[in-house]
Amino acid sequence: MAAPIALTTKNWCLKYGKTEALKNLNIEIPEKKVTAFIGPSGCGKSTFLRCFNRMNDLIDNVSVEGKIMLYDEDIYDPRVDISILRQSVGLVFQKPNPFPKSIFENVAYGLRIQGKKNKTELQDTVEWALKNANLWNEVHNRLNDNSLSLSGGQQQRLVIARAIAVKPQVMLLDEPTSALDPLSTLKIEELILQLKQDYTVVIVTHNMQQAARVSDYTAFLYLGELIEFNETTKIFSTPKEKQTEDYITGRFG
Amino acid sequence: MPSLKQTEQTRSWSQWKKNGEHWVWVNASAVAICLIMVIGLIGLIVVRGLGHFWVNDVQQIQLQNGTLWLGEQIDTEKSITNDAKQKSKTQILYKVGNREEYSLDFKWFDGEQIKNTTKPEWVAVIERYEWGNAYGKITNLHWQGKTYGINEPQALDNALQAVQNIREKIHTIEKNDIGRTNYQLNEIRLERKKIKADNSLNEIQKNKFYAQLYHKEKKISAHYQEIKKELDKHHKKLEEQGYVTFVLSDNKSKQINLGHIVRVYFPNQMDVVDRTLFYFEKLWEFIIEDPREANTEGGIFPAIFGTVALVMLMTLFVTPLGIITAIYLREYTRQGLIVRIIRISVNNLAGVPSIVYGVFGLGFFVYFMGGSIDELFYSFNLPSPTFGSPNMLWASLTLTLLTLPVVIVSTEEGLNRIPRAIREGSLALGSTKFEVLWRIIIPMISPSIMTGIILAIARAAGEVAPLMLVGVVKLAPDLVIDGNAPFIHLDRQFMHLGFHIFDVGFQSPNIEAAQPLVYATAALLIFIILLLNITTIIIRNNLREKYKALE
Repeated sequence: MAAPIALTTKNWCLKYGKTEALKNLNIEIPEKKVTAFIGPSGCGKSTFLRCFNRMNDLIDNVSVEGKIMLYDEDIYDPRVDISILRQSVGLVFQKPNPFPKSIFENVAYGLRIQGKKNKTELQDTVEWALKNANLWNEVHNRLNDNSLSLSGGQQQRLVIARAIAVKPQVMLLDEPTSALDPLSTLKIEELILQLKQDYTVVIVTHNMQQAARVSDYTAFLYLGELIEFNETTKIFSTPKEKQTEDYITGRFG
Repeated sequence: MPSLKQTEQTRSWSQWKKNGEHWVWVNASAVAICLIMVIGLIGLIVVRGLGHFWVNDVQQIQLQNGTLWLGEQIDTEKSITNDAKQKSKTQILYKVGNREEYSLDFKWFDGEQIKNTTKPEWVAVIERYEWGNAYGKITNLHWQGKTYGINEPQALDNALQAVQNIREKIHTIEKNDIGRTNYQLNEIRLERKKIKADNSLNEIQKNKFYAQLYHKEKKISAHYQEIKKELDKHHKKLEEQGYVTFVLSDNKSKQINLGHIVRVYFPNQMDVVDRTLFYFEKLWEFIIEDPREANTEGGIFPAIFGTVALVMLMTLFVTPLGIITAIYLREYTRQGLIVRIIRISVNNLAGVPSIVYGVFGLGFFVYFMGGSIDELFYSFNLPSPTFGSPNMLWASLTLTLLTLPVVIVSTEEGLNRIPRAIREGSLALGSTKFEVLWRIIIPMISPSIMTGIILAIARAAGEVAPLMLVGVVKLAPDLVIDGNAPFIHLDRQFMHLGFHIFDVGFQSPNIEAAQPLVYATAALLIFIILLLNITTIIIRNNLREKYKALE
């Protein structure tokens, strides 16, 4: 692995009450690559993904152990400002969740939270983000329309634009295409390939083909354990573990 | 293969029952009954209430014994007699007016006594500021020293117009100038009390202040005397305008001073267009004028104003309080037993009879809060209370308490409906919980909040019982908002449409005259609540369109 490492986890464990959801995970996610988490439902891949921007903090009875490093900073250090962390590690959800505001205001939301008020700066950033999310051409003449008037695929790209508008270092995508039709999925996949030029992308997916198409590295999780992590081509062609092979060939899961 | 078509058998009663059609019918009838009740209620109130302002013909009634009466037919009734052989009698109620002559405006006549009725063209109705309507025949008019006969109707119009102009001047002076100077004099009186009670001042300082106040008072008093002179001049002028000579039905002749006349009309000469115009004139007067003659004549503007001001003030208090409470209960506390108990208590508060709130308002707001405020800030004015008596402020706060549960419950429901994904989406962009609430959630729940406000307004506008304890009065010509600084006087008592209905209907000495006013006031109250509700519903629908939640 030649690329520098963006995210590192060390002996990462997570418990919901007394149930262990993630067990002793060690992974090094390389910078400006797409890393896919695959695994059967309930294996903890979404939970793991949400650890990277501490979204699990919202749940009452979660306890964690171990370390997660964003470059050289421990993100679970008590001194960390969660707002700043979440601005540098963006998260896109499974179902598009635009705010009931205009398209412009959705993308500008993160900037307004940061206290930016300069109008030209906002406009420039919104345009830049929408262009990067391949949505500019479709919406540039109706930025003041309600975002809920967009189609599902457009909404998902809007949400991605909203996330990149705050210029994060890492983008976490939690099954970003599972609620979309094939054509919209294709557009999002193209977007992911484009995003990795500037961002470290981590994607959770149920779709094996998608993982193969878009990711450079793939991690296979099963029952809260990291079974195998390697370059995608290797995982799909010569998996080392029997469980991985069984899963990607569709023998279980 | 069996046929798919219905047979005689499957169309039977059991099939009908199986399809649940009997339930559909039951439901439909229930809806129909509700509709009939609502339409019946509103119909009755509107017809009785708004019909009151329509001009009826005035009849000349000749009795068997030869006596003549003039009056408007109001009602017919069949009286029940104890004697079975005797056939039931018809009784007819006439409004005969001329209260100073007959002591009552209304009179029942036995149907048998009446020989005939006619509608003579010459009948004039004179509406007066005192003693109600007069019915009779105008013989001539004395105006500014000249005498005019009945063949000069233009003279009467001119005379009444002149009287009207003088009256308007008097009204302006009384309402504005006299009101202002009285207010200022009262302020000085309070100021003097304040200085007297101030222990930090020594005698010399006090005397200095007294001298200043005395000077000020003298100036205002002088001004007052001037106004008073002016007013007296106008009053004298009004009295000296002249009089109308008027013959009653029993041939008794009277003089009616022009200054006492509201208007004169000839009902039997009016066609439909005249009557319609006259109707709207009367209706308008009812809406914008102050009441006269123990609330049975004139308008009800102070009551309309009081109702609307009360509801608005209540909304102003209840909205922020309800939203803050609901947000704290739903978003910030840990959901546990205590929160559940609080929530149940809040829901149960909505079911407490409103008079209980009135008692609480009187005990807590008026006596305790008002009394404390008086002691702390207005002790110089004691023993006469400033805030320690029923007034607009305490009434609106009592209603706030009464409607708070509704706003809390609907805001909480709105909060429950916000999808988790929206909150997480906002948090994932680095906003704090407060920012999520402020920028995303509160705008999104605004339609639910408006629903709460609509329900609150509907409940508050119709309440009478608690208000009787905390601030409503029979007659309060001084409005809560007027031109004297500080313009809003929440320490004043006020009139209210709901209480006005009660007062006119049950406390009035003149029952027959009051009855239609009860309906008219009720119709107006319904109309105002409707107007308030429609406004809020329009706002809510706009908000709903704007913040459509994710489906």
